[in-house]
Amino acid sequence: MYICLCLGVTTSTVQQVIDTGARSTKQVAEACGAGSVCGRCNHTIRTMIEAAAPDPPRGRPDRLRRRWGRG
Amino acid sequence: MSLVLAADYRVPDFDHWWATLTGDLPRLPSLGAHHIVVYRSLEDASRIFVTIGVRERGPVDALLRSPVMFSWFDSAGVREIPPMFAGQVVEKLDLAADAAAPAAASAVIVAAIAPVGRPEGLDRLRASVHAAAARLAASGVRRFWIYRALDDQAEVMILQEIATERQAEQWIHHPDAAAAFMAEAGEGAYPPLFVGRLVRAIEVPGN
Repeated sequence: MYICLCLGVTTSTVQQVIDTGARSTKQVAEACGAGSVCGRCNHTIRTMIEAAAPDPPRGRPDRLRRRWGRG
Repeated sequence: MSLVLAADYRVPDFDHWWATLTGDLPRLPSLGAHHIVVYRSLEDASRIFVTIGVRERGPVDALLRSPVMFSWFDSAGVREIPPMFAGQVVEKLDLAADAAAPAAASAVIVAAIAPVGRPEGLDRLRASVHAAAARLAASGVRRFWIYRALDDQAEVMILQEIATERQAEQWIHHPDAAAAFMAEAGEGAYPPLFVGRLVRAIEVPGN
């Protein structure tokens, strides 16, 4: 998927940057440009950073809630 | 070959957006868009899944950064731009006897965007779905479409049309092994499984 539409930066590129140590949207922007133009994708980048954290603050995102939820 | 863009996001006021959507349509031919399909979540009335069929006219990144694309989100009141899937269909399985007929109003769409693993994950998925076709049909899966991402050969979007809401619920809770990809949805940047109904398939005027 394309995360940053302004620069055409993809999920795999952002994930690589996070995997190599980026821990903030600023660090991601410096490394690959994602989020550095309009900034409207920063919420997605934050979600990816949180998901990669050793102890994610919100845990795994719910796939679906309530009756569509999977155990 | 036609390109498909897709995104899963929330619109703050669906009814207002829907009423004003026709104002956006005349701009879309400049993207090469020929069809838009809008699905609405069964669980969250503000959540939608939109696919845009595009005749390829140059690099995808140029298409995505087009002002028309940003205008699409602006007019819906969407501030945070969602990740966009861009890919091409690689598999269209019509499993129902009456698959050529338009989807019934009761049909449910289950959409997933997920990684399937490298290097042969997509081939494995296609083979397993073919092998499981009879079981899928017996579970109410009427159509099973696979799209491969342009930017990542191991990433797919899968649209499953399921006959009824009850069968969709059963399918999600107890998926066939061929639908193991559903467990990967919702990780990192990938949206959670989308379960909804077709609102409308729109042919873009001027194309």
